[in-house]
Amino acid sequence: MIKAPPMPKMNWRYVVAIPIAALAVHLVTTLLAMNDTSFSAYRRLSPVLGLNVMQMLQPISPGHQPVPFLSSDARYAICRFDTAKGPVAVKAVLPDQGWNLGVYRADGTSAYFAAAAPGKATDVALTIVPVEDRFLGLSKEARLEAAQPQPVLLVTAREGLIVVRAPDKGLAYRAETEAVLAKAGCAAKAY
Amino acid sequence: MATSDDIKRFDRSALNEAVRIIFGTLTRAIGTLLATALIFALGIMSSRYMVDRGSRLTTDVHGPWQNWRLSGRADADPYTRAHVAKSGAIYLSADSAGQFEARFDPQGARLHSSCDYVIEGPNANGMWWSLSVFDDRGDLINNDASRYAFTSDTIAANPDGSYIVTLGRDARPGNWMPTGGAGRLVLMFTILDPATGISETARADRYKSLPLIRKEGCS
Repeated sequence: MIKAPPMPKMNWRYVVAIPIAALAVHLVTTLLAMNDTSFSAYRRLSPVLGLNVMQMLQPISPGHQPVPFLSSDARYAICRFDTAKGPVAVKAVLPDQGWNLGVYRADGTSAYFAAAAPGKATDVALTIVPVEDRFLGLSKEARLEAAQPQPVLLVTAREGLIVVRAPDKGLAYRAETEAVLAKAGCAAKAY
Repeated sequence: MATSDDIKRFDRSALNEAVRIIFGTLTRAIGTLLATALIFALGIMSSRYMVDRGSRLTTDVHGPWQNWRLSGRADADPYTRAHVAKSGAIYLSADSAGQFEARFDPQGARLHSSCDYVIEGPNANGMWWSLSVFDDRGDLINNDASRYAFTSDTIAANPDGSYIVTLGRDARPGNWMPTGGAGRLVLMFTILDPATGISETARADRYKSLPLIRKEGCS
């Protein structure tokens, strides 16, 4: 009778080490992906947007869609902000339901969001200041000493996008929508 | 004094030993390479899956609709943040809006432009919503009617506030969105919260406004 060869011994060190090492690779890959903004909306829009200037985009349509999944359900005014050289003041009017304003960091996370109530105009006026050691204590806004007609919004990122979104109700309302969007602004303020 | 037989025996045993060492080293090297490849494959592929598709940890799934629970929020988990950064899309903050996407019909088949779909939505009780259709890459689908989305402002709703949207290649009466030639489709449903905000419970109930997707047929 032929004796069966002995089963190879399982090396338990490998059995434990492989999943742990794979988990480490998983975590590192995820963290790298999280910090990789090379495909983010901010990077995609940077070449077409001026710095600290609010720009109204054309009606969104095929060929005029600067970022993926940007719907034609709205008209957009977008400002690429950078607070490296000073705070950025933002103002906009959100006249009716569906209008909103969002401040996004370069990685796409939202720092601020405001939406209009039905039939009630909402004035948004805020100042974006960086929260950094080299900045704190220098700015009037940071020390909250300035006369503050505007609320001060602190953001932890230096750059990002301000997006004013207006529901596109169609051609008949387009001029009215554009007129309100045109009033939205962002501008750098000196330290 | 060693005879020639002794020398031959010695040579053979030394050769055997050398072969054994080389074979052992090669086996260990191949094993290490395979283990390393396995580690990287498992780590990278699982990360990509969690970032691209999401899981129960990061997304809510309601029928064919998927929602990244913390998209756009400052306290979002690393998977959601990586998903948002990688997608290149501008997500409304999950604090203020629900954004749901559907890539599959309720039977689990990919939404495709070769099929016709009927989408039936309930009355959203005065909330602003929009329904948009994109191709697989997130691009709007070119069409002569210039129709890419319906919103609560532009939809022709039923008297009770509910609505029906049809997706298909051929023109239809009513709320028709053309999809011809797009290939795989992605539907995006966005619903904005009231400006006064909503409770966590109400936020969790956003899915009740989601429309149903029904496949009519394929050609």
